[in-house]
Amino acid sequence: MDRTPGHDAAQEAAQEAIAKLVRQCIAGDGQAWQQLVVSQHRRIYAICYRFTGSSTDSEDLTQDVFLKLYKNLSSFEVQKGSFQTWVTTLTRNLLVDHFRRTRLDRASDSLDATFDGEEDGPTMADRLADPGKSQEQHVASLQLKSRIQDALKQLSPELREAVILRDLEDMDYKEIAQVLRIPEGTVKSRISRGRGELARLLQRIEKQQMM
Amino acid sequence: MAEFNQFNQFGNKQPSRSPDPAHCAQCEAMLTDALDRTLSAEDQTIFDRHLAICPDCSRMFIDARLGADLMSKLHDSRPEPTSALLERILATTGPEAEKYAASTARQNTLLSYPAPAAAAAIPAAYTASNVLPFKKRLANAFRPSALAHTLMQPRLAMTAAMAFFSIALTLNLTGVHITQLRASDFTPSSIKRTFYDTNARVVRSIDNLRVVYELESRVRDLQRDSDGGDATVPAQNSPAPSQSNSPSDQNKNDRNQAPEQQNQEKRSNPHPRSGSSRSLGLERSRKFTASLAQPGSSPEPGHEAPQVFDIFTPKIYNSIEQGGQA
Repeated sequence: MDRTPGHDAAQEAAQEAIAKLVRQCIAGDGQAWQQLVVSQHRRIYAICYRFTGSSTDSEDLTQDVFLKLYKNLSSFEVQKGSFQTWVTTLTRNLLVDHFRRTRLDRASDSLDATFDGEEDGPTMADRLADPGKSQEQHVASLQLKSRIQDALKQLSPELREAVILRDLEDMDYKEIAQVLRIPEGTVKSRISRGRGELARLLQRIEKQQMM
Repeated sequence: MAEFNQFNQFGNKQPSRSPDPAHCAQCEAMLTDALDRTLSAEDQTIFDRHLAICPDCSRMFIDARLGADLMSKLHDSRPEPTSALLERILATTGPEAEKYAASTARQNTLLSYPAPAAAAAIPAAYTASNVLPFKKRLANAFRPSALAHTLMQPRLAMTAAMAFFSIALTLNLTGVHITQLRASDFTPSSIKRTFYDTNARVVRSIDNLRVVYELESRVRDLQRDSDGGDATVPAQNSPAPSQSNSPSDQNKNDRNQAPEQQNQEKRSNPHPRSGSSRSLGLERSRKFTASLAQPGSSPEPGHEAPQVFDIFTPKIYNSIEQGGQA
C-alpha cells in the first residue's frame, strides 16, 4: 500500500501503455482492443465481484462495462485524464445501477447466510484433504476471506465502494474523489468509517457463528 | 449501525462523551493519513494526544486499523473470472465483432431497421450514433437486393396470396373469365351490361334454390290451413245469445261447453310444456287469422266468455238467493 517513487513510475508507464492502446482502438485496431480487454477485464471483474459478492453477476456486469466502454471509447480524451479512472467510473456507475436494481432481491438476505458457493470459501477438495497444519491454516485463511467478503457485502454502498477502491484497487484519494465525485476529505472519512464498520461487522458475524 | 452511531460521527446528534470533543472531527479526518503514516510530525502529535484522552476516537482508530488489516488479506487474493468471460466480451465487442454482426444482421429494407452493413465501413463505436441519414436509408431501401428481401418476407407473400385468392374467388362467383376478357368489355356500356347480367343471374340462382321452394310451399300450406279454420272456429267459440234467454241457462251452457272445448283443444293440441316453443303453435295463429277475418270478435272468445261467467255468476246467484230468502 506504500507509494514509492519506483511504484509511481511503473504505474505511469502502465498508464502510458494503456493510453497508447486506447488510441489504437479509436483508430479501429482490433488487436489493440483485444489487448485492452485482456489487460483490463480481471481488474474490472475483481471490482464487480468485491462489490456484489456474486461471480455470475460480476461476469455479467464486466461484460456490460466493456460494451459501454466500447460504445463510449470515442468520448474518452487521452490528454484529459487517466484511462483507469475513466473505466473505474464507468464500472462504479454500472454497479450503483445494479445495486438499485437488485434492492428488492437483497431484502430477504440474512446475516447468517451460509458461505457455500463463495469463491473465497474452502472447496470440497480443501475439506477432504489431509488436515495437516499447513492445510488447516490454508482452510482457515480461506474461511476468513470468505467472512471478510460477506462482511464487505453488508457495508453500505457508499462506504463499500470507497474501501474497495482504496484497499483493493490501490487508487489514491484524488482518483477516488474523481470516480465518486466527492471531496477528498469525504473520501478519507468514508474509508476510515468503512474499515471500522467492516471490523465490527466481522466481529458480530463471528459471535453469531460461535453461538 | 447502532453500535457505530455511539461515536461522535458527522451528523450524529448524540452528545459526545469525549473529554476533548473539539478535536474529534479533526482526528477522524486524520485517521486514514495516520494509518498510511503520512501525517506530519506536528499532526501526529496532536492525533496521538487526542487518542490518549478520547476513548471513542481510540476505539475508532483500532477498528479502522483492524479493518485495513482485514482488507489487506483480501488484497492478496484477487478473484479470477472464468476463461469464458474473455471470449464473451470479445464476441460482443470490438471491430471484429462489429463486422461479424454487420454481416449477419438484417439488410436495410423498407420494412426493417437501417442496414448495419452500410455502417460497417465506419465502426459503430466511433460514430456519434448508429442512425443513418434519411437519404442514405432511402437509397439503401431501393437497392434490388433490398427490394427482393422485402418482397420475399412471409407477411408480404401471405398478403399477396390472400389478395389473389379473394380476387379469383370474386371473379369466379360473378362469372368473369379473365381469359375471355377483351378490350371492348371495358367500355362503360359493356360494364353496365355485365353488371345487370350478373345481377339477373344472381337473382335467378336464388330463385332456383330448393330451399326457397320449400319455404314457399310451407307458407302456402299455412295460409290454406288458416283459411279452412275460419269457418269452424268462430262457430264453435262464439256464444249464441238467441238460444238461451235466461242467464242461468246461458251459464249452464257455457259451463258444459267449456270443458268440452278444453278437452277438444287438449286432444288436438296437447298442453305444451313450459318454455316450449309449441305454445306458439299453429292453432293459435289459425285462431288469430280467423279473428282478423271477423271484425269485432276477440281471438279467443270461447275461452274468455266462460271464465267471465265462472267468476261472476255464482256470486250474483248467491246474493239473489240470500236477498230473496231475507
